[in-house]
Amino acid sequence: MDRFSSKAENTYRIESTNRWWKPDTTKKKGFFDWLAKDADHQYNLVTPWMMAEDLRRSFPEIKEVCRLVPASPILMIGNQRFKENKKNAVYVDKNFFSFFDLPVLNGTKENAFQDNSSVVISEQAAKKYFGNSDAVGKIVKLGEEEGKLFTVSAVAKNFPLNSSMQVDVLFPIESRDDYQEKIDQGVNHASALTLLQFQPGVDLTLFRKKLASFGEQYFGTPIDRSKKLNPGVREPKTDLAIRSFSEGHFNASSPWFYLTNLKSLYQLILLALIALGIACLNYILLSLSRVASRSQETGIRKTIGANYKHILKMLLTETWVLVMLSMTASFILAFIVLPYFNKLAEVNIAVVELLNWKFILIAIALSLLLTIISGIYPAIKMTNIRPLNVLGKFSTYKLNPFLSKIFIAFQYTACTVLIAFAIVMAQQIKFVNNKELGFDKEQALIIDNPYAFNREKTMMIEEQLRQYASTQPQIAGFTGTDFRYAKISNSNTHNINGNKEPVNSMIVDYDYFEFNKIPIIQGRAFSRQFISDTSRIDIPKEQLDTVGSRTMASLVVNETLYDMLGRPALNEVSRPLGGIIIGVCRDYFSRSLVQKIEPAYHRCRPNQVRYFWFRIGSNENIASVVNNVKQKFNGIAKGEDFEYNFMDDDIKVLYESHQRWFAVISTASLMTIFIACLGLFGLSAVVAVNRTKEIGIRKVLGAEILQLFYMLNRQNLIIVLLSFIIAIPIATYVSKNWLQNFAYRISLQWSFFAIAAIIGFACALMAVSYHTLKAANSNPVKSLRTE
Amino acid sequence: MNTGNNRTFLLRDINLHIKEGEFVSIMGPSGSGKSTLLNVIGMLDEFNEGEYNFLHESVHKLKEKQRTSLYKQYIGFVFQAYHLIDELTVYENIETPLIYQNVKTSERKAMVADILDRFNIVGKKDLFPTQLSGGQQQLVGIARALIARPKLLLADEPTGNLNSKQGEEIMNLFKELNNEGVAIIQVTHSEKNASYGSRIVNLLDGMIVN
Repeated sequence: MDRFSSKAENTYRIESTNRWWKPDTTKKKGFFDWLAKDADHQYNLVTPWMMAEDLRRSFPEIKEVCRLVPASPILMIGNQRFKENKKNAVYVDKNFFSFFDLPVLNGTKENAFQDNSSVVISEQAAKKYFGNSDAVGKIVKLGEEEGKLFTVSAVAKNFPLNSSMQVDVLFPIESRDDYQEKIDQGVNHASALTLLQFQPGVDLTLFRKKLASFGEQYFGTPIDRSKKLNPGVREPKTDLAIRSFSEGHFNASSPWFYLTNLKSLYQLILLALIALGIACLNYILLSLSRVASRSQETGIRKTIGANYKHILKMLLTETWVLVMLSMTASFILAFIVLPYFNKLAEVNIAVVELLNWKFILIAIALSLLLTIISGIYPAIKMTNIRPLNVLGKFSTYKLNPFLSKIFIAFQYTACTVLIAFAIVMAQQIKFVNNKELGFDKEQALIIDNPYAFNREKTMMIEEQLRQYASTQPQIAGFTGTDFRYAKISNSNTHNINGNKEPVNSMIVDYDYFEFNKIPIIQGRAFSRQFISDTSRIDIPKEQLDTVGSRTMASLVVNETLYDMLGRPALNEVSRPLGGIIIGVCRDYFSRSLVQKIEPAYHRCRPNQVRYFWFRIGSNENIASVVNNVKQKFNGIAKGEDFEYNFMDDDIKVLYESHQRWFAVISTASLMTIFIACLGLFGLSAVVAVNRTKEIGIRKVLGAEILQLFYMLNRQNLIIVLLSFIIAIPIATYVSKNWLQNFAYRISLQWSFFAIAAIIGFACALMAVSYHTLKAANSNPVKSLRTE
Repeated sequence: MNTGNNRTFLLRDINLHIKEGEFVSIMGPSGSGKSTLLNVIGMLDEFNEGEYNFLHESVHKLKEKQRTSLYKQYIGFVFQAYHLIDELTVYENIETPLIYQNVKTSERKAMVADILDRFNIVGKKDLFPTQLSGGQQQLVGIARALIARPKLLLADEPTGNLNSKQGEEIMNLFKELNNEGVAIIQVTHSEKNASYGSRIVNLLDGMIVN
């Protein structure tokens, strides 16, 4: 929900079918996928730069258009260097502020941008760049060396933290040097987000239809060309559509700004509902158990003239006070865990935003609802007690056994499911962390090449660093790549067996396989003895595929790709790849275990690497090695930033969200089992009180404590056992569903559920023990006395 | 016996010897310690001082478990308020002590059938206690006390909740049982009932007065 602007509601974005995105059909669609609708679906959001203007001309319905091009610029403020990312830096049309009706401090929204050398920054950016001095009129240099100069023309109010857009730096789109070029490229280039606003009263259904047919025509030329080039490969259609700006917040398409992961939000809500349900059930159970002890009080109140309304009101008020107290407590708790929650749900909720009247009103309404749900049944039960019964003779209140059975069954089913799920998660996380990745991930230091994309300079720094690494006893190996672990972005489409297949393309330096201990199972690795390994190979046109990409290089392919190609002979031209396969390496995980190992080939291009990899010797002090490398780096690349990562950190990051979920689920299961045990504890107290006399009789008749304990708890424990049986299919379903997230996963084992059941049963046993053992131990003489 | 912090003797200087097969009535005003004495004899209450010998066993030296098995085997209880288990049928109520003595199912069946027959309550075996009159309930209570063939029957005002006709029937039954060799100790307020016994023990303020 984007309420940062009053106009957001009437704002729509253009999107189209993403021809390159394949939904993962191997995954089963679960309940939450259904709830979250197309939240996972990747649409194509980028549009040609000139389309906004063309749309406005063709559709009188459109009132305003605004283009956004996310950017990741480096800004120089004086001598200070700031790197902004695509989420908070953007090129926009000059009408941006009036389009969204956003307030601009010192300036008007209509002319926030005075000219093409104006830049608008947010309050927080102003503070970051210029401290407390007035930002307006200050100079910002875009780019490091011969950068363009911009003048801050206005400061914009910060965007609220929960909105899709939280932009800090806005440049006018026309300020780009390549602006005209991009416009001239027409439909052949797409990188702008196009946002629309409509005239009042426009029929959107009609507009959608018109827009779709407009799209067919508009993209006619590229579609035709695509049809010619890729006959029958995939429907090369472009379905233009619109989606409201606020809905965009819940869709995973990129490059959007900030999103909310609907699925995890729904999952958390479900978890909260389960916990709340169990708590309510327990409140009912426990207050019913108090009916017995409070019946005297109620009886007296009734005899002195209270009618049932009075008593109902009294009891409900008591419940409400309790609910309000616990709500207050939960608010305090919520504030403490909020940052954690934000990370988990990938949202950005600030504490202050919770303290608005709407939220408080909802909270009060919820408290009343909870009061009614959990308070009404016990209250009615209590008001129905006849005063004479209570005051006259010894009578106990009997809990409806069917009701209590259902309560227990529900609670323990929920508990077992959660515990079993947590165990499965723990096992899977252990599995992914311990899984042999097929390469050596230990002690690998990876530093960024500051001269990426500059081949001469890359070659220079590569040679010097390699030289340095070979002379250092602390460093056991050196290589380079154009990717970091799990961040392979380059994938080319090749025509393999008549299918268009995306194949990962990885640029590596010499010694890559040796460095990572990846075995070459056929042929050879890249070698300096073959000049052709690093140079472009000219292959006669007849031997090349006309449809797919061509590598024109010597390639080392992985086994998966090699098998896909049908294990061809080495050192010959591979038609689908348009290159020469010189070797085959064993499959290794270049991405997370969430995905299957994909077909991939490696090319050796030392001057195109973007990262340098150092293997730190096994017994070395890592910090000192990093420091030494840094000094060397600073000596070679003067003034450049030394940025580094470790391979194992990159790997850890992959499973962070799963790890967080694991934490949530295990906390939730601990909490629910605690609450459930509390309920059982209370229930066993009622049972013990209700059956005091019977226990006494049985003791006199010779029953032993264990026999009594068994007798008192048999029913409840049988229900607990039964609930395990209900829980197992549910837990299996939930676990299997979650495991679908991983291409490599553990198989479910009985022991997981058995452990969950044992934990649940042991807790239940402990919960019932106190009261029943106490009752069983009591002296029968006391309970059988008839005064 | 102690209660609370103040050391008060609920029973004091009791020196009582009861022979096998005897029928003793304990009498005395309320609070004189009759029930306490009965409970001590029944090994339900503990005592702090003195000795208690039961069939060659020194009860005061026994552990709780041994005591339980001793009274389980040899002592049956009959209460003023019957103390039947409401959730169980007549049959099940009578059967319960046998379950706690680990008697086999087939044997249990035979024993319960015998006693139902003897007390003429076969037709009532599937009824619940609340469906019976007070006299019938007490009959079931006695049947239950006798099912394990005890040597001693302890009865705490067994006719207290019954009308005089029902009471008389119960007392006659007691007499009959005593003739068959079961020792009986009963607590009662009624001189008439006491006279069924062969000996009367009078209790006042926890002491025997005679």
